[in-house]
Amino acid sequence: MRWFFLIVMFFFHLTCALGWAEEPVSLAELLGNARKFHGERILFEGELIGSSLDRGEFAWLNLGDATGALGVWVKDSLLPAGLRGGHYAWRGDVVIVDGIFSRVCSEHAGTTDLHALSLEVVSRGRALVEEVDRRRIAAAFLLSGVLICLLILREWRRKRARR
Amino acid sequence: MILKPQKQDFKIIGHFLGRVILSFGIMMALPIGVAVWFGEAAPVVDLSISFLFSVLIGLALTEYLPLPKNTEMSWSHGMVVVSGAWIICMFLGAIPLYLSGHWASYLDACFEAMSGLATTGLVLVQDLDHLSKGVNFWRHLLMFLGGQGIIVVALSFLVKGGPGAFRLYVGEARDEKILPNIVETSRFIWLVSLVYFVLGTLLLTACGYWAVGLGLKDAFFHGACNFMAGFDTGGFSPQSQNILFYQSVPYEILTLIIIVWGALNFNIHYAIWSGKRKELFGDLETRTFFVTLTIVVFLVIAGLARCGAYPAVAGLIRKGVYQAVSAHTGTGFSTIYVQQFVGEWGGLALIGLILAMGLGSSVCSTTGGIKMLRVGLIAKAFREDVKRFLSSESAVLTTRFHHVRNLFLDDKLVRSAALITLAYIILYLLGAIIGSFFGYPFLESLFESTSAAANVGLSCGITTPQMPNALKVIYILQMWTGRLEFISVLVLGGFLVSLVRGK
Repeated sequence: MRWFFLIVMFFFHLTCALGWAEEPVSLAELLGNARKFHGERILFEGELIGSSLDRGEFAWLNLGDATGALGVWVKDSLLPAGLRGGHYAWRGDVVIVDGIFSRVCSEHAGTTDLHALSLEVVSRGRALVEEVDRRRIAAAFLLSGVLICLLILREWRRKRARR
Repeated sequence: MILKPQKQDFKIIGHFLGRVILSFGIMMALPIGVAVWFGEAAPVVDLSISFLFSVLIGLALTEYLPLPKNTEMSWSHGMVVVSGAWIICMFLGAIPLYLSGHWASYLDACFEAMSGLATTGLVLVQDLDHLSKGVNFWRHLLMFLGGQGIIVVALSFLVKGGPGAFRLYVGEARDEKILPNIVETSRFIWLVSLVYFVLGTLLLTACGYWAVGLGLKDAFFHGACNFMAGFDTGGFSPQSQNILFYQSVPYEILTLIIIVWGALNFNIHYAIWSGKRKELFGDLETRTFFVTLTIVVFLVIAGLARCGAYPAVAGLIRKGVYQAVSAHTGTGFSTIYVQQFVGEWGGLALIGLILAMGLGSSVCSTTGGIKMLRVGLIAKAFREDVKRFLSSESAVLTTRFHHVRNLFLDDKLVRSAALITLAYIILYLLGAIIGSFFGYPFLESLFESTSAAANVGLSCGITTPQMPNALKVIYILQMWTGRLEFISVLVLGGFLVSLVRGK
């Protein structure tokens, strides 16, 4: 009976923990319900945009999800090694941050931000392969040829006009 | 009786259009250099196609529509060239944007190009944070060219002086000569802009590197782009979060200084360069600007305090003052999210911003809107009228004011100021009504319409790639008309009518 009771309690607590596991909140949701989320602990997942902006013992990360980008204030000790941000031809590392959201941060003079309590890399960045379209190269060469012909014609007409 | 344009008229217009397009096309070589420096192969090809195409069109027009001998450009020719050149340059400037794949359609790319040229700053770009440096630089260069004036670019290098040059200059909403010769005036505007570009870029680079934490190459690139967008009161920024990306009070303060500096009349810059620093405080325009700025900042802060958007004073000042100055100078740099304007700022603060945007800053500068000189003249005219009623009937009243030089207020000046002011207000309201027709709330439509027509660029969320195409076209027309201050656009309309109805 005792064992049965312990097994039931174990599965009860496991179910509660799974039920309370949070999903990341999007920036649109945060901004749409900013006063409700102010001061709350949330999960935010996004791609690191640009590089981390070093500020002494802390850094700013700008994380972008599908609805926009949010500034995350994070202690240097929480930053994983080799974090790489996105730019042209590179999709940045995707990170998930557990932190306190502020609609108007008192520490940062009214900025909307997230103070990180923990940070985890979800996936590492990758190169965005961009192929140079051969038809465009051909178009560029064609236009160059036409331009050169026009310049030669222009010069020839001027010489003829001088004569 | 409207006269139908003759072959000679088309030759004159076509020839000067060609010169403007040629100078515009040559400028496309600069972003090619940026793309090469950053090793971006595909953008090099896209920008090269646009460069070659624009230069070809410009050369073809100048070569095959030679200027007829002993002809002079009339006012109507000048106005048609200016307004036509802006539209053609919009189409050409949109080519590299569209080829990059970051704009959903060619219309969106044209919207962005006009937003750049008219130094507005409303954006339809998608995934800006992954846009190539070359194309991103082109976006910002469009602002630098449009702010000084694409006609001014042509006048500086490819157009000789004379009455025709002056007519082109005036057609681009500038009627104040800084130097006796228009070509010299144009070159001075460029000299000032380039000197400030070097200084401003260095300052922003240093701030970006030390205060923000950017790498040196990125700090330089961001500095150059933000200076071009800031000094020309345009409002584009290399990243999607705009100035919020930098998370830096020093960077925000520096951009504030740059945008206020860019909002000044170029005559004031000339006076400062000539050692007459008192002009900065003695000019009617700058004095009116500081008065209206104080009123607008007060309105915005009162509105924010009333709705509790920022409980602490630091937030009120940092966000409220920045957005008010950004709106009043017609820049559109933003340190808050678009959704926060509507969701958190409240009606009074929004009205303060709309007023700030609608008023604008200085004539003969890079800003849009009604402009402070007109506001000052109308205020002085009201004051004179009130004094006239209070004085005896035999009294002769004159009102003097100082703008570049001492002038007397006369009816012609007041009439001109009032007409343009009325035209702007009608444009703002027309855009608001059309926005409401598409289902947007009136206050937000008014905000967005004023932002477009006054070439500011702040958005409350209406301007997105998903907005109706017809509204995109309306905003393009508003940006174009607002930038050129109506006259040259109306003359172009009249010219097109004369093609059909002229005799």
